[in-house]
Amino acid sequence: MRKFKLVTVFTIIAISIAMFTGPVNSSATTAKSPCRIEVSIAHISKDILAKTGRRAVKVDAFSKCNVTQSKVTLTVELWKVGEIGNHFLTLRVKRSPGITMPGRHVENFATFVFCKDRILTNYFGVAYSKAFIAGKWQFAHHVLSRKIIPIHCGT
Amino acid sequence: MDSFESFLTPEQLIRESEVLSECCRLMLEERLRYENQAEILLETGSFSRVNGDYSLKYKMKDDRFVWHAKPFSPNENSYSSEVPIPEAMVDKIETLIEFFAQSEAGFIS
Repeated sequence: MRKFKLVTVFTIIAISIAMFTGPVNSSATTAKSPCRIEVSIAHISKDILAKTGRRAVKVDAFSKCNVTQSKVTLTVELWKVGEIGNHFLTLRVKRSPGITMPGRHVENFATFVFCKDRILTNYFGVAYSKAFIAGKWQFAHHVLSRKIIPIHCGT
Repeated sequence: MDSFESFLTPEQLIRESEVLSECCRLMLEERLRYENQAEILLETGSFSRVNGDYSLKYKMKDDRFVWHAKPFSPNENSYSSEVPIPEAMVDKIETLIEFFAQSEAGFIS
Protein backbone atom coordinates (compact mmCIF):
# COMPACT_ATOMS: atom_id res chain seq x y z
CA MET A 1 0.00 0.00 0.00
CA ARG A 2 2.79 2.34 1.00
CA LYS A 3 4.75 1.42 -2.13
CA PHE A 4 1.66 2.10 -4.25
CA LYS A 5 1.26 5.54 -2.66
CA LEU A 6 4.93 6.34 -3.26
CA VAL A 7 4.66 5.30 -6.93
CA THR A 8 1.52 7.46 -7.28
CA VAL A 9 3.26 10.51 -5.82
CA PHE A 10 6.27 10.15 -8.10
CA THR A 11 3.99 9.64 -11.11
CA ILE A 12 2.19 12.89 -10.29
CA ILE A 13 5.52 14.71 -9.97
CA ALA A 14 6.74 13.30 -13.29
CA ILE A 15 3.51 14.25 -15.09
CA SER A 16 3.58 17.72 -13.55
CA ILE A 17 7.14 18.30 -14.69
CA ALA A 18 6.32 17.02 -18.17
CA MET A 19 3.37 19.43 -18.36
CA PHE A 20 5.56 22.37 -17.50
CA THR A 21 8.47 21.57 -19.73
CA GLY A 22 8.36 23.47 -22.99
CA PRO A 23 10.37 22.93 -26.15
CA VAL A 24 13.54 23.90 -24.33
CA ASN A 25 14.50 21.19 -21.84
CA SER A 26 15.45 21.84 -18.24
CA SER A 27 19.14 22.08 -18.98
CA ALA A 28 17.93 24.96 -21.09
CA THR A 29 20.56 24.94 -23.79
CA THR A 30 19.64 24.19 -27.36
CA ALA A 31 21.56 24.54 -30.59
CA LYS A 32 19.25 27.35 -31.69
CA SER A 33 18.94 29.37 -28.53
CA PRO A 34 21.63 31.94 -27.77
CA CYS A 35 20.37 32.09 -24.18
CA ARG A 36 19.94 29.71 -21.29
CA ILE A 37 18.21 29.82 -17.94
CA GLU A 38 19.22 27.88 -14.85
CA VAL A 39 16.93 27.33 -11.88
CA SER A 40 18.17 26.13 -8.52
CA ILE A 41 16.72 23.29 -6.51
CA ALA A 42 14.16 24.65 -4.05
CA HIS A 43 15.97 24.84 -0.72
CA ILE A 44 15.87 26.15 2.82
CA SER A 45 17.75 29.38 3.30
CA LYS A 46 20.17 28.18 5.99
CA ASP A 47 21.49 31.57 7.00
CA ILE A 48 18.10 33.03 7.79
CA LEU A 49 17.33 29.94 9.87
CA ALA A 50 20.51 30.47 11.90
CA LYS A 51 19.93 34.20 12.27
CA THR A 52 16.24 34.42 13.01
CA GLY A 53 15.06 30.88 13.71
CA ARG A 54 12.61 31.19 10.84
CA ARG A 55 12.66 28.85 7.87
CA ALA A 56 12.05 29.96 4.31
CA VAL A 57 11.90 27.93 1.11
CA LYS A 58 13.67 29.68 -1.73
CA VAL A 59 14.45 29.20 -5.40
CA ASP A 60 16.99 31.15 -7.47
CA ALA A 61 17.48 31.54 -11.20
CA PHE A 62 19.63 33.36 -13.71
CA SER A 63 19.63 33.81 -17.46
CA LYS A 64 22.70 34.15 -19.62
CA CYS A 65 23.00 34.95 -23.33
CA ASN A 66 25.93 34.81 -25.69
CA VAL A 67 24.57 37.84 -27.56
CA THR A 68 23.80 41.40 -26.50
CA GLN A 69 20.29 41.74 -25.13
CA SER A 70 18.20 44.51 -23.63
CA LYS A 71 15.01 44.95 -21.59
CA VAL A 72 15.46 41.51 -20.01
CA THR A 73 12.59 40.24 -17.89
CA LEU A 74 13.28 37.15 -15.78
CA THR A 75 10.37 35.54 -13.94
CA VAL A 76 10.81 32.90 -11.24
CA GLU A 77 7.92 30.92 -9.81
CA LEU A 78 7.87 28.72 -6.71
CA TRP A 79 5.54 25.71 -6.73
CA LYS A 80 4.58 23.10 -4.14
CA VAL A 81 3.95 19.52 -5.22
CA GLY A 82 0.50 18.35 -4.12
CA GLU A 83 -1.12 14.94 -4.11
CA ILE A 84 -3.76 15.97 -6.63
CA GLY A 85 -2.01 18.83 -8.39
CA ASN A 86 0.76 21.34 -7.88
CA HIS A 87 0.17 24.59 -6.04
CA PHE A 88 1.48 27.96 -7.13
CA LEU A 89 3.03 29.75 -4.12
CA THR A 90 4.62 32.91 -5.45
CA LEU A 91 6.41 34.49 -8.36
CA ARG A 92 8.98 37.23 -8.55
CA VAL A 93 9.77 39.22 -11.70
CA LYS A 94 12.94 41.22 -12.31
CA ARG A 95 13.01 43.69 -15.20
CA SER A 96 16.38 45.01 -16.27
CA PRO A 97 15.84 48.13 -18.41
CA GLY A 98 19.27 48.56 -19.99
CA ILE A 99 21.61 46.57 -22.17
CA THR A 100 23.04 43.27 -20.93
CA MET A 101 26.32 42.35 -22.55
CA PRO A 102 27.05 38.81 -23.82
CA GLY A 103 27.96 36.41 -21.00
CA ARG A 104 26.53 38.61 -18.28
CA HIS A 105 24.00 37.05 -15.93
CA VAL A 106 20.59 38.50 -15.23
CA GLU A 107 19.77 37.17 -11.78
CA ASN A 108 16.56 36.73 -9.87
CA PHE A 109 17.51 35.59 -6.39
CA ALA A 110 14.55 36.69 -4.28
CA THR A 111 11.75 34.18 -4.73
CA PHE A 112 10.90 32.75 -1.32
CA VAL A 113 8.11 31.96 1.11
CA PHE A 114 8.38 31.55 4.87
CA CYS A 115 7.54 28.08 6.22
CA LYS A 116 4.53 27.64 8.51
CA ASP A 117 5.65 24.32 9.98
CA ARG A 118 8.18 21.49 9.46
CA ILE A 119 6.07 19.12 7.36
CA LEU A 120 8.20 17.36 4.73
CA THR A 121 7.17 18.93 1.41
CA ASN A 122 8.33 18.90 -2.21
CA TYR A 123 8.91 22.18 -4.02
CA PHE A 124 10.27 23.19 -7.40
CA GLY A 125 11.05 26.39 -9.27
CA VAL A 126 10.05 27.46 -12.77
CA ALA A 127 11.75 30.29 -14.63
CA TYR A 128 11.22 31.97 -17.98
CA SER A 129 12.36 35.16 -19.61
CA LYS A 130 11.96 37.58 -22.46
CA ALA A 131 14.48 39.98 -23.95
CA PHE A 132 14.94 42.28 -26.90
CA ILE A 133 17.60 40.70 -29.11
CA ALA A 134 18.65 41.77 -32.60
CA GLY A 135 15.60 43.98 -33.04
CA LYS A 136 12.91 41.60 -31.86
CA TRP A 137 11.49 40.07 -28.71
CA GLN A 138 12.83 36.63 -27.85
CA PHE A 139 11.12 34.38 -25.33
CA ALA A 140 12.87 31.66 -23.34
CA HIS A 141 10.57 28.79 -22.46
CA HIS A 142 9.82 27.53 -18.97
CA VAL A 143 12.73 25.81 -17.26
CA LEU A 144 12.34 23.79 -14.06
CA SER A 145 14.54 22.94 -11.12
CA ARG A 146 16.49 19.87 -12.19
CA LYS A 147 15.59 18.00 -9.01
CA ILE A 148 12.96 17.97 -6.32
CA ILE A 149 14.35 17.31 -2.85
CA PRO A 150 11.82 17.07 0.00
CA ILE A 151 12.40 19.68 2.66
CA HIS A 152 11.05 20.20 6.17
CA CYS A 153 8.94 23.23 5.37
CA GLY A 154 5.17 23.26 5.28
CA THR A 155 3.50 26.24 3.60
CA MET B 1 20.31 13.85 0.30
CA ASP B 2 22.01 15.87 -2.41
CA SER B 3 24.01 18.85 -1.36
CA PHE B 4 22.62 22.12 -2.62
CA GLU B 5 24.92 24.27 -4.70
CA SER B 6 24.03 27.94 -4.50
CA PHE B 7 24.16 30.26 -7.52
CA LEU B 8 24.90 33.20 -5.24
CA THR B 9 28.35 34.67 -4.71
CA PRO B 10 29.53 35.12 -1.09
CA GLU B 11 28.58 38.83 -1.35
CA GLN B 12 25.12 37.94 -2.66
CA LEU B 13 24.66 35.41 0.15
CA ILE B 14 25.35 38.21 2.64
CA ARG B 15 22.82 40.41 0.85
CA GLU B 16 20.31 37.53 0.82
CA SER B 17 20.75 37.18 4.56
CA GLU B 18 20.22 40.92 5.06
CA VAL B 19 17.08 40.98 2.91
CA LEU B 20 15.50 37.95 4.59
CA SER B 21 16.41 39.22 8.06
CA GLU B 22 14.91 42.61 7.20
CA CYS B 23 11.80 40.84 5.96
CA CYS B 24 11.48 39.02 9.31
CA ARG B 25 12.00 42.27 11.20
CA LEU B 26 9.39 44.11 9.15
CA MET B 27 6.84 41.34 9.65
CA LEU B 28 7.20 41.73 13.40
CA GLU B 29 7.77 45.45 13.88
CA GLU B 30 5.53 46.82 11.12
CA ARG B 31 2.69 44.40 11.69
CA LEU B 32 0.20 47.08 12.75
CA ARG B 33 0.93 49.25 9.69
CA TYR B 34 0.65 46.21 7.43
CA GLU B 35 -2.69 45.27 8.99
CA ASN B 36 -3.95 48.78 8.20
CA GLN B 37 -2.58 48.57 4.65
CA ALA B 38 -4.21 45.14 4.23
CA GLU B 39 -7.55 46.61 5.28
CA ILE B 40 -7.22 49.35 2.64
CA LEU B 41 -6.14 46.94 -0.07
CA LEU B 42 -8.96 44.49 0.65
CA GLU B 43 -11.54 47.30 0.74
CA THR B 44 -10.43 49.32 -2.27
CA GLY B 45 -8.55 46.77 -4.37
CA SER B 46 -5.37 48.84 -4.57
CA PHE B 47 -2.84 50.65 -2.44
CA SER B 48 0.41 52.53 -3.09
CA ARG B 49 3.28 54.07 -1.16
CA VAL B 50 6.84 55.24 -1.62
CA ASN B 51 9.67 53.17 -0.17
CA GLY B 52 13.15 54.67 -0.64
CA ASP B 53 13.92 54.98 -4.33
CA TYR B 54 10.89 52.94 -5.38
CA SER B 55 7.20 53.53 -5.82
CA LEU B 56 5.28 50.49 -4.59
CA LYS B 57 1.86 49.66 -6.00
CA TYR B 58 -0.29 46.83 -4.65
CA LYS B 59 -3.47 45.48 -6.18
CA MET B 60 -5.73 42.48 -6.40
CA LYS B 61 -5.77 40.95 -9.85
CA ASP B 62 -8.05 37.96 -10.43
CA ASP B 63 -7.15 35.47 -7.69
CA ARG B 64 -3.78 37.02 -6.81
CA PHE B 65 -2.25 39.81 -4.78
CA VAL B 66 0.26 41.71 -6.91
CA TRP B 67 2.91 44.30 -6.13
CA HIS B 68 5.04 46.36 -8.51
CA ALA B 69 8.18 48.21 -7.40
CA LYS B 70 8.96 50.93 -9.91
CA PRO B 71 12.21 52.88 -9.48
CA PHE B 72 12.30 56.66 -9.76
CA SER B 73 15.43 56.28 -11.88
CA PRO B 74 14.72 54.79 -15.34
CA ASN B 75 18.11 53.03 -15.29
CA GLU B 76 17.33 50.90 -12.23
CA ASN B 77 15.74 47.45 -12.26
CA SER B 78 12.05 47.14 -11.52
CA TYR B 79 10.45 44.24 -9.68
CA SER B 80 7.08 42.65 -9.13
CA SER B 81 5.59 39.73 -7.29
CA GLU B 82 2.36 37.74 -7.10
CA VAL B 83 0.82 35.37 -4.55
CA PRO B 84 -2.53 33.57 -4.53
CA ILE B 85 -5.31 35.19 -2.49
CA PRO B 86 -6.36 32.79 0.28
CA GLU B 87 -10.04 32.19 1.06
CA ALA B 88 -10.19 32.93 4.79
CA MET B 89 -9.87 36.53 5.99
CA VAL B 90 -7.27 35.65 8.62
CA ASP B 91 -5.12 33.99 5.95
CA LYS B 92 -5.51 37.01 3.66
CA ILE B 93 -4.17 39.29 6.39
CA GLU B 94 -1.23 36.99 7.21
CA THR B 95 -0.40 36.60 3.51
CA LEU B 96 -0.47 40.36 3.01
CA ILE B 97 1.79 40.97 6.03
CA GLU B 98 4.49 38.76 4.47
CA PHE B 99 3.73 40.22 1.04
CA PHE B 100 4.18 43.85 2.21
CA ALA B 101 7.34 42.94 4.12
CA GLN B 102 8.87 41.22 1.07
CA SER B 103 8.17 44.27 -1.09
CA GLU B 104 9.91 46.60 1.38
CA ALA B 105 12.79 44.38 2.49
CA GLY B 106 15.02 45.25 -0.47
CA PHE B 107 16.32 43.37 -3.46
CA ILE B 108 19.14 40.88 -3.98
CA SER B 109 21.26 41.69 -7.02
